[in-house]
Amino acid sequence: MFRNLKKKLNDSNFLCIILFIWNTLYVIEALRIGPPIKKGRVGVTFFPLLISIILYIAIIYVFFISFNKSKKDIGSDLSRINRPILVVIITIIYIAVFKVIGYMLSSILYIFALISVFETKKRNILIKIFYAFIIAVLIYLLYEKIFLIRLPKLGEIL
Amino acid sequence: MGNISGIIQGFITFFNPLVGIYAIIGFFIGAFFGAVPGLTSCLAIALILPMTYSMNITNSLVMCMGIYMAGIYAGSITAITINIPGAPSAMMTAIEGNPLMKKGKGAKALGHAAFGSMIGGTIGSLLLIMIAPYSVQLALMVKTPGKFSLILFALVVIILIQRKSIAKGAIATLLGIMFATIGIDLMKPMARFTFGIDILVQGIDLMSVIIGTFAISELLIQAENSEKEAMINEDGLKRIKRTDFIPRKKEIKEIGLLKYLKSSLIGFFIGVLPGAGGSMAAFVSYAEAMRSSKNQDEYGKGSLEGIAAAETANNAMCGGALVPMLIFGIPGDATTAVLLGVLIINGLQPGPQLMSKQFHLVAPMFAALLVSALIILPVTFYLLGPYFIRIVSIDRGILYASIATVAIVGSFVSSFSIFQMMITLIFGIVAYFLRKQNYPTVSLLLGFILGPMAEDYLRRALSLGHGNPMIFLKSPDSIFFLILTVVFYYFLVIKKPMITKEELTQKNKMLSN
Repeated sequence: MFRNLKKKLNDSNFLCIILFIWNTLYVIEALRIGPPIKKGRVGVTFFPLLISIILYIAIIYVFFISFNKSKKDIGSDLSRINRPILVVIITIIYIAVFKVIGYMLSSILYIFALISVFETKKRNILIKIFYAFIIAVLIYLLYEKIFLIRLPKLGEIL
Repeated sequence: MGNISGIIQGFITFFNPLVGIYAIIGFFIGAFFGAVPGLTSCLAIALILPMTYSMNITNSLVMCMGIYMAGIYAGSITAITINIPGAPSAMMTAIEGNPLMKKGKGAKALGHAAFGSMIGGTIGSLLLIMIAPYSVQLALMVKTPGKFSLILFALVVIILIQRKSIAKGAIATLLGIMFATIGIDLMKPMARFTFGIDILVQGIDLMSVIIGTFAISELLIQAENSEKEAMINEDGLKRIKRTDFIPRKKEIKEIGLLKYLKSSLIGFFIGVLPGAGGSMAAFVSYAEAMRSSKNQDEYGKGSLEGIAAAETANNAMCGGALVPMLIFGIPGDATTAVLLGVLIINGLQPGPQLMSKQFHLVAPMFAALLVSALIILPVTFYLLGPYFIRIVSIDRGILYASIATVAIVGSFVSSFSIFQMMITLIFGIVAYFLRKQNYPTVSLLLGFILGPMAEDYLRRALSLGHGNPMIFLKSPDSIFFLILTVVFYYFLVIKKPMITKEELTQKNKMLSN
């Protein structure tokens, strides 16, 4: 029975399960804050709880609709997400070091990494570094010199 | 009289070279983003959003208008040349334009697309100039319960318009509303939905939602499709001369001025509907043109009439979509939703007050939209048309690395907060998974923008009515919008439109085979 259920579960209803969990956490948090109606007047959780109830109905509806569709019908799968995951990891690292090592250095490394991920034809590493440097400088000039927005620097130089 | 002088003043401001140049810059940015498949005018405005902090608001809005008009029009370039619509609104153009490209008549198709965009954009802008300032009196008549009913109407239409899956549209919209509830409560000084995380008290920045939903999710989608490279047939383009782009008088006569006018009106009024956007405007106008055409056999094989109908309507939509955004703060499509962000972030609150007391700030925007359609579009297309076509050949690695950096740095400069950068990334990931399962992320953004307004007016109205929901049935403005909601529900759900986009595409494929 469990194997049969696993076979039926596709990406669509997997997303529904995640949304269901999020909605439940939201409802628990709302009830923790306070009752939706107090002494005949609506409270701060009235509207959020109303939204949660409608969301539950929509999630359950989509879950059962997609449950009856085969993987082919759903139209997308999670098998091609290696590259997006790589982009997410690179971006997390970029955000983490952005203030620490400054805009210029972190951006050159970030752009270099992304060019490597997105490139369709293999390029010399020096050319990629050159492009990364040029793009980082152009964005720096755009923000710092044209729009006068200060970006984080490493030791007030880069 | 005050409105007319305000509009004249707006045109005078716009024709100041320092202001007008922003419209031209915006136009080029929009043309670039519109022409590259996957990139849209909405993304372009999302990326320049952080920069508008240090710009004059008039210049920002003028630039956004250039982007908006050009982005919608430029979607037709790749739709015709490589059969990949640069923007979703150019889908119907691809059906008719690409067969013409294959027959060696690509320049003719591109010329008619630009001509239709010019006509539609101009009529849409003129209607905006005529209608918007006078709608203020109407907007002032709407009181608190009516305002809630109006937003409810907008939210219901945003959901119902997703005819492929209304339930998914509802989920995306409701998620947007939920995310907007995180942070300090609207009416009481207390934190909500922080889940024990102190930093969430500051709430989720609109900029993070916009950049995450449109820029980061697009980046992840493109990373998935990295191996696919858009190819353009260079041989077919070498022969194109500038004069080939100019539509012949005879062809325009055959299409008929009435068709251009009808398509413009369809586009404008669909634009007024919340969440409908250019894609629906083009589709409805195309379907109507096909229904009323004497040359139905040509449809699907390269009909100039079809291109004209779709392109006229999607550019006329631009003016229409701005009406509810400026009058009520309800965006007509994704781009106007981001544009609303530009206004809010710069401290302007759309509504009757903006239109009456700060009209001098928005009037140059009307001028920019009209001039972008009437002058900048045909001139730049004539001068740079052959180069626009080659935009698609740009290196993907460099393009997406640049977009990612501008997006992430942009989310930083809006708040100088690493936390908001992370929120941007999280929204990007959420939007990516939603998009993979065909959830409309535009609805998520519209929910995020309209949610707080809906809650505010609901609570205020119930407070006025001492908790009695019958207050919504006591004021005529509220009753009007509730009836309108029921009418739209009837027409969009119960009495479904005769033909769907998929059926029409299928029909055209069969015809062309």
